[in-house]
Amino acid sequence: MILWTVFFLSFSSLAFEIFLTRLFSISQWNHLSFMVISIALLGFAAGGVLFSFLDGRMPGWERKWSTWIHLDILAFAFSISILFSLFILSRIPFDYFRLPFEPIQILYLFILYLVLGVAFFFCGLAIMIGYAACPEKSGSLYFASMAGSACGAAASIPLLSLFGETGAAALSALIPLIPAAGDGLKSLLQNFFHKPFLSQTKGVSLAMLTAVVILCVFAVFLFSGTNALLQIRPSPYKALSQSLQFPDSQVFQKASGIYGRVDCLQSPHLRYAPGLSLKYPSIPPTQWAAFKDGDHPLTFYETNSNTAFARSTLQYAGYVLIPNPGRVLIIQPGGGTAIPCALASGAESITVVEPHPFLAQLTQKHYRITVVSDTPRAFLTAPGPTFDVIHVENWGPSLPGTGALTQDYLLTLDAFAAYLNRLSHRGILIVSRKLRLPPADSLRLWSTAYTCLVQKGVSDPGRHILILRNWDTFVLIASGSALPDTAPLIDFANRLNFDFIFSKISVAHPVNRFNRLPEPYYHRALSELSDAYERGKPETFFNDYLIDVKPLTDERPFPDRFIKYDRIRTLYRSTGSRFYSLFMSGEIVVWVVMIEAAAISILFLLLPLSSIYRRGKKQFPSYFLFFFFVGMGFMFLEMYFVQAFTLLLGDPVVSFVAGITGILIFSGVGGRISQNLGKGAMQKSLLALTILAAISYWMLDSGIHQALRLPKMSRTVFALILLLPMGLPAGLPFPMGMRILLDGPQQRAFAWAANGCASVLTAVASVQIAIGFGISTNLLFAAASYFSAWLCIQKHVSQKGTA
Amino acid sequence: MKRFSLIFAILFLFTRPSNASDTGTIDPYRKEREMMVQTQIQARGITDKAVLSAMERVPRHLFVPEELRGRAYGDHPLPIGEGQTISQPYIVALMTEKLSVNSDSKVLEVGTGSGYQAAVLSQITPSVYTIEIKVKLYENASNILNNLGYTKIQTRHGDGYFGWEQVQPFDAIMITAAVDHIPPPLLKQLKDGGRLILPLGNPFSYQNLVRVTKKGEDYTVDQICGVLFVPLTGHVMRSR
Repeated sequence: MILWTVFFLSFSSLAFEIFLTRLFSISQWNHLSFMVISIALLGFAAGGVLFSFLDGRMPGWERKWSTWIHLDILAFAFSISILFSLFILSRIPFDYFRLPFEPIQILYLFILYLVLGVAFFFCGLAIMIGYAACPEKSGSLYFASMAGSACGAAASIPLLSLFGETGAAALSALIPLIPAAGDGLKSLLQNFFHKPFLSQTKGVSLAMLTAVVILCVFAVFLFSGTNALLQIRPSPYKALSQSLQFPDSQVFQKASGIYGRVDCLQSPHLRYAPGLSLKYPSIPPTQWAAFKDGDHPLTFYETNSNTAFARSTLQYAGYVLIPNPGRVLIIQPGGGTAIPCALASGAESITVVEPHPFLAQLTQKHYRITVVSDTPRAFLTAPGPTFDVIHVENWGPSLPGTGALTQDYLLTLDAFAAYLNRLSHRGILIVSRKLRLPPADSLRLWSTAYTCLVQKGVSDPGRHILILRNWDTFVLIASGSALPDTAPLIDFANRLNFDFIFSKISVAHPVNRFNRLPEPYYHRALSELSDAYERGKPETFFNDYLIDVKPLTDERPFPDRFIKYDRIRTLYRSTGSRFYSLFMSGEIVVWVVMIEAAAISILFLLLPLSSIYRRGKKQFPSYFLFFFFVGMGFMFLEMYFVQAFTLLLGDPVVSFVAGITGILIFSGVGGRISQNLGKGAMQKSLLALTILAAISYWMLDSGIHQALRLPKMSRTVFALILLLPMGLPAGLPFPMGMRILLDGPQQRAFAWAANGCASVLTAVASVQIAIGFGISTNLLFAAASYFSAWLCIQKHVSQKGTA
Repeated sequence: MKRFSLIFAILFLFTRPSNASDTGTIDPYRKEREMMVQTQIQARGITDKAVLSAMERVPRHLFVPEELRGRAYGDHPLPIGEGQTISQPYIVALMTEKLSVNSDSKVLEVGTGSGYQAAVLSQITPSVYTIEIKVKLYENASNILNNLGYTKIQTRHGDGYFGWEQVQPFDAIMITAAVDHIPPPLLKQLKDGGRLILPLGNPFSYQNLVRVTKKGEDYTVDQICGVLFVPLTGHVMRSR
């Protein structure tokens, strides 16, 4: 019975966690969705804390609570708390932007944290009761829990597509009721035939069945369907919410799925035209837009034969250098002007690479051009034709800072190398972005292009790169061969009032001419950077510069990351001494969440520890440290794979699902195998994990890059295979520790809490480590954690050996 | 004597302009407003007396939701619901100053928002026209402006992208909404020598201003940083 309860609860809680991540991505911003992981894990840990604290007051609690009726009550409590939390989530007037100004928003955030954590608390409680009541079955319990979670992660994909975010989340509340309904029915039938009517058991059974039915009806009517009473709406600050406030604007098509929610909006007031010249005399073409998670609009233009619009944009500059291009490749994570530009240029063929299947379909249908639905990096790595133009249209997030935690593999050194490799001999790379002050992206992208050209063996890379701007955007143009005659480009810039930021080609064109800053900040910064490169000391520039503008690598692919913590005070001053502008950065949010998680974890661990010592049941602190380190090791591994698979699979949520599903399945199997193993295997597994993690640090990265050549499905299979060698042994230490190292239920409850707290801290820390030191560094931390766990049990083993 | 005092008091109340900005007798935020002007605006280099006076007179707290009134004079923007914000006081002052308006200027504001910016402009020139496309915001701002006595401000519900054809041309146009390009119809409605100003970036992150000046058929664009971006001079570059 307990195994099924644990399986279904784990299934549901992991699916709910994924749905919550999606709901937060839509209703708030990506970096807030990251908070969900810490909520879930803290909820899990809280169950252990509660019972290790109450152990003295409720002797035998683990036996009492492991009966089927109590487990069913926990499942009901879990379901009700999910539905309740969804209700609160859809109604609470939490506004992230009011947080610094309105104290009540802190209360709203706290309520959200609390309410969302309750469901995970009940789930954690059930699993922990299992370990405390049946330590001999630890391996099987571990398997049930991991297998349930893996199935929940995998099931989230079809559930999201079928029921949408709220419907799927509501459905996740009903899944753990399956064993309860089975129990109720079984008991009802038995009582009906063998015992007097309306016995106590029968009453409970009836109540349970009734509750199941009511919950089902409640969930279906309230949460699913297009006319649902409760819907999660995008933040009012998001582009979709803003556009919907225009008259006669409506969403005419919607699609939900693991890649995100897409809303197609039609409005006579949509006029998206970044980079448009002031000299353009008319209004932009008729358009509609597809919004991903309520933001990041992808605009579709009615191009017809009107080419003047596209020809008046800054991003068209690249085409001026290469009239009548042959093949054009477009990669557009956001925007939409790249296709009209390509069409206006008279390109022979246009190929668009769009990772989102629904957006790919929309693009193909609207423009009737070739659209490949795959991740751009995989497309570029696979063998294929060369292109005369590759245009990367990536304007960045609508709010600077909110994308600080977003992994983007389109602007890294490795990505630029891939672009250059797929350019024809006269080919041009165009990258269009928003301008920022202090100069940031423009410097980083220029140095990225410069470094790649150097690596390609180009002798004077500066002559292969150009940057132009208007008042709001810039475009970088780079080529593997020396840039052709720039006279037409100078004429284009003069005619449309665009400025050159920096060019080493002898263009007699003054900077800061049409779009005047008090001083030519961009030009000056790029000149200094260029000089630094020519002196062979770019590091000096990067070290001195206020923010981090070093070229990105696939190891640290966070294009919205700029903060240098040792310069934060200067940054604060130089951007107007405004605290709130720093607060909006995802980089700062990670620190806030980490401090909060650390504070709660310390509280969680210290409170029950005092109770344990007061009752005189002293246990080696090293045992608890063992569970802490095992939790850390596991989470570092998990987070590494989730982050690393984003390159391979193209989408962070897809990589989250694939990574979690794989590692949970394999570690679950490992847990089941551990049931029959002795403590020697535990030690060996820890050492094996230490060695494997350390080796992987050196080897996995190149393996993942090689696998980019594979077709889409093969990459997924490859990802799952990668998880096997470490996933399997990772499932051994925890259940074996529960079975072998600990004596009583209180210790097991506390060990559970320690493991949960470690997971929370690691989940947050791993993001910071990836941003600061690189994704692979998480593997080193995993190795260190497992080795520390191994050290923790040495004393125990030698003691037992002596005995 | 008491009777005289009463008469004076009544006369004083009735002879005060109907404009709410001057209802100093019941304005608990007057001191805060003065402080705001001194510490946030003057101290940062805004010197135009008309702008300073306007900022001192318009009761900003009445343009924000009641629960945020206590924060109305803080050195930051404020969210005012529906995904809208009221700009940082310094930005409002800087935009107004850089628009170079005087009492003869005809000004168009695109994006009424809370109505605060229009109220500030109306303290400098009587010819203020403001358009808001979002109906809720339009109704709300119109009500506030009317209730506070800013009756000379011409408000309209409509698409500001196309300007206000019937009353063009304008000496100055202010766009307060976030835009990714400058609407060509607005440029056409500027007088020769006219200025168009708009904020760049998001109010919660960095924010600088863009000012377009029309000269015949040509435009010059000046990007104004104010103090919101202190340039990376050698000192800042190296200080650690």
